[in-house]
Amino acid sequence: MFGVGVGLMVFGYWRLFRWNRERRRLHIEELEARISLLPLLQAEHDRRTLRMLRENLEEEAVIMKDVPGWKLGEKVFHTDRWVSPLTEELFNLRPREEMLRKKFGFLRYV
Amino acid sequence: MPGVVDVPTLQELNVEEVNVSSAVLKAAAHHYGSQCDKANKEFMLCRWEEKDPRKCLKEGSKVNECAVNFFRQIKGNCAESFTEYWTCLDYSNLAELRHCRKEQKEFDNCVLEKLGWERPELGDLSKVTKVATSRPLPENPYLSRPRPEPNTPIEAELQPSKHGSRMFFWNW
Repeated sequence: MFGVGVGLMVFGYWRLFRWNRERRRLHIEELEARISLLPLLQAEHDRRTLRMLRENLEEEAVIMKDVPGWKLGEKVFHTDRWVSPLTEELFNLRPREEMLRKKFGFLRYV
Repeated sequence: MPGVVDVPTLQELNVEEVNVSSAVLKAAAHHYGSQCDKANKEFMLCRWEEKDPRKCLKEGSKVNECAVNFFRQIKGNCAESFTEYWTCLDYSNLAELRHCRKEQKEFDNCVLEKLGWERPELGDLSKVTKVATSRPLPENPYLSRPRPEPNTPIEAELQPSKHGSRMFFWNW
């Protein structure tokens, strides 16, 4: 009786380990789909940030036209390297919903 | 005094975009990874080395070109089986590849016959590759200040310490 129980358990464990390995393979497959798409997504994201920065610059030129002593497109830092812009900075002149969507769109928990 | 940020013009950013939804991308992802491998790897290498998106716009546009050609080739040759595959994937919330094996096999066969593309094996796309480019390696991509000199080598004779190690109770 006992032997039958233990045998069943061992059989269950073996099935479980096999299915877990299969799940791992499936998960790797899905991750690889993401890996292969990353350059496309990165390139699109880069273009989008640069486009938004450009539009913000042009808006700034229009808005601060009459302010004396305003340097257009002035850097916030002293360095010359590329600093990733903050979402607040990018979505400054757009409706708040867009910024919230960018920040929290993928988040499902609170 | 800080200078001005150098943002590229809208003209330079105008690139032919891949106008396609997420399920379509995921469906074709494995073949895309093996076909458009070169352009993708060059773009990622550029991005990682230069750490500046403005310097990699050319490679980015090549990535887009390759992607658009890829989808055009699929549309020209294997449109129906591809449509069935990605509609099947699109049915569920997370597009799980294991629910659509039949359509995937059909699509793979069609692509293999007409275009000669093979689906890469499991683990092939995550292998580490070496990329050869004509772009030179940037020196000092972080634009850091000149580093301080290293300490001069010790000239005198080194003796063992007099009362044993003072770091007996601490081993860091």
